[in-house]
Amino acid sequence: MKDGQGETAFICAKCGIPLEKTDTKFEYLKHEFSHPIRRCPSCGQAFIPEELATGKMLDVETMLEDK
Amino acid sequence: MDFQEIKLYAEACIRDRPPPCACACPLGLDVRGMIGKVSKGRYGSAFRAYREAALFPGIVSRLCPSYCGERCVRGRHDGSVDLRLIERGIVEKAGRTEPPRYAVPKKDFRVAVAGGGLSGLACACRLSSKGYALTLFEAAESIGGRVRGLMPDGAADEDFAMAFMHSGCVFRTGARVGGLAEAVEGFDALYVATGRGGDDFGLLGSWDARMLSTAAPGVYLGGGLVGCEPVWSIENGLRAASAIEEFLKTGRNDGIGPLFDRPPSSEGFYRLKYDFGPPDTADAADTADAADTADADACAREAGRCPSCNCSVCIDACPLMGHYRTDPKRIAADLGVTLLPVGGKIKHVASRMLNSCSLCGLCDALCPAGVKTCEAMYESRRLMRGSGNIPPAFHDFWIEDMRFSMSGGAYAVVGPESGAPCGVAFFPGCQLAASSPQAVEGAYSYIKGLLPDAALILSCCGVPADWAAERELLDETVGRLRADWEGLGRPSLLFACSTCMKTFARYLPEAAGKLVYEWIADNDGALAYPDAAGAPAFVYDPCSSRGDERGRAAVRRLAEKSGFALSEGAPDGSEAACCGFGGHIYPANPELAGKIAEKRLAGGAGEATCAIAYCANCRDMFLHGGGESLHILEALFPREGGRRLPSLSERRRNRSELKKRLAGEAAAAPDAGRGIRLVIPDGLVGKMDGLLLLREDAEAAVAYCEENNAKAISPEGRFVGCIRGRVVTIWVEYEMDPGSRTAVLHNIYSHRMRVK
Repeated sequence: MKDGQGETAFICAKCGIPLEKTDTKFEYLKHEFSHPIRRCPSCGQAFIPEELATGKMLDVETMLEDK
Repeated sequence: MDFQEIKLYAEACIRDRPPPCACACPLGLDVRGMIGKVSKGRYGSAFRAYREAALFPGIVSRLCPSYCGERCVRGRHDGSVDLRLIERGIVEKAGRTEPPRYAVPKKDFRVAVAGGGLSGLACACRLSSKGYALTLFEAAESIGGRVRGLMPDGAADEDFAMAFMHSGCVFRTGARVGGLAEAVEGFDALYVATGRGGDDFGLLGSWDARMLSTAAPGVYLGGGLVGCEPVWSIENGLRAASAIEEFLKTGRNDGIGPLFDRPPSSEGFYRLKYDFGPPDTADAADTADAADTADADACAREAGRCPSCNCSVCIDACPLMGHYRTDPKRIAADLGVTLLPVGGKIKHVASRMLNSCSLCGLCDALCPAGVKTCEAMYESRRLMRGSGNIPPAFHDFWIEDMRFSMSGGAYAVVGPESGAPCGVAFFPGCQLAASSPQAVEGAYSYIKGLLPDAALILSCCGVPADWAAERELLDETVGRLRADWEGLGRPSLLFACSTCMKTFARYLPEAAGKLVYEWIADNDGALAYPDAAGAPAFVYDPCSSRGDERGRAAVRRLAEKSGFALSEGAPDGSEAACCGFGGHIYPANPELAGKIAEKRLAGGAGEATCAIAYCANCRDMFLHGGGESLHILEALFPREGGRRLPSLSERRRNRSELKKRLAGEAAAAPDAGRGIRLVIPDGLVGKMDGLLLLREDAEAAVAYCEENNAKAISPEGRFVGCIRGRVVTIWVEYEMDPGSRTAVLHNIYSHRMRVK
């Protein structure tokens, strides 16, 4: 099953509806920024894939730790 | 150290500082650079560098009495390097290289030089090459002064011709200057270099030896007139040129460049270890013969004897400096920028670096100049922690591990059953209790066998708090240890871990003791030594054992009596290097921690050789890398279930179970899974260790997702959800059997960033 953006759908266990790409705020070491991740449009349940956590997010974390 | 001291901590570092020979040279010759060129066969380049410093290379290479010789570090071994021979070789090989012609704008100043000896010529040459209008007065019919009598016919003239080839200097030979008024008439400045016994125009009484200045503004004195030998005369001429130029530009009578303040030579160069090979007496004799007939071969051979003194001792030894391609001076600069106590957008360039230091002290121990890089790193961590700028994730895991060691689940003080004060207490340390609890039991049982009233303290020594610069936690821990130690009757402590011993010596010195290995070696009458049957091994000294000669010797004695054949090439304990655990650098710099482990493994004494460790973390590092390793207490007291590498979760469980066995009970860990049984496949255990995640973390994440129904369902039908911990967010992917309340973990990962 694909969601509206062509990605394989993750379903929110609580609401039973597919997660959708949503602009989300992140915070680390007093810095804030936003990035779209899949979230439940109803309850906000999020999903961050491992590739994002160990890829782009790790890069930003490393950069901020050195700042 | 405070901020200012940290910024300046590397001032005494001798790296790239002029070596003793260059410091002794009146002309400040860059010996290291010149030798480097000769060793590459670049004689033309070497000659240009030499001429730039000496001005008259043919003359200096013949007349210099080798001020450098008596300072040469090789002199104490098999004779000083003969730099004059090398210089002669360079001149022979490339001496006809013409000087470059620079398009220098003419300056609107006229300078007179009285005296055409080496000093006057040097001053005239330097200033005229810079575009000043020079007139040189010489009483004799030709220039050169006393040098003429010291050089073969025509040799000096060749140098002078070359030096003044592109100069507009006017030479007025046979012209004696009558007096000061006549000499300065029509000139803006004057250098009086009239030679030994020459006319000083009544200015010698007001002469300043450093500035070469006199009471008369713009008039300078130097060279043979003030007692200089030939090479120093050249130096005076160049110094006067610098002073005159400053005077003409600014009107100041006291300005010379820093170049002329010879840097003091550092004794550190004599403390470095040089590989000179066997004493080379034949070459020394050849050198003496060859002094006047230098050829390129002799020159190259002699240059080969020069060790090009420079220091890279800490850089060679410290993996951090290698990783960051840095050195003490750069570290000092980076720490200065990082710690600068002003707000705003200062980049903490050294934040990760200073949290990547194992704090093992090797650099400080090796430095020939007493530079304390390790201390500066430690103090910087403290300052940075104080300003709240250390990312919490850098030290959180090990601080929590320490809290666990100090909790009811692991901390124990077992005193004598009689309740009487005891004389001895065993302090195995939290890491050995975690990695090899059987070794702790074996050792304690042996001690109790001989000293039934011996106590046991199962605790952390507080070093994780020290490494994280968590001063309050450290003080709290030390206070608790002091109280419990006093409660036992202030016993002598027997440590299994050198780091614990070092930490006590620093923060609780009244309770300092010795390594338990020393005690066992001295009380081995009842010990049934194992028989390792000549198994090849080497003793791997932990970094914290540096300076504890008796402890190190005791471990070797115990290993030998256990039948191990210790290799002679075992690393020298005085230079013991950290296994990568020290300083808890892994969370800040896993890459460097990995590199260090690789390096230590590669430095082992061969694949089939067992590393006998007396630091639990060294042992674990070898085992983790696939090497053979044994803690000395495991060797002495072999037990079933020992000699394996536990996971991080098992390391906590081991401490609790050890406490149960030795102290009767341990506080049960809270049920992180809240009734859910979590199955973690073996394949994920290593990954979790790499991420510093415990079974309890995974259980808590699954429990949170289940209790709050805070999860998504993946296309594969698995649940995916997360829990925010203190410093990381942990994601779990799992399957759940609601009937048996059993979950199977399929994946786990984390990030430090917080989702809002």
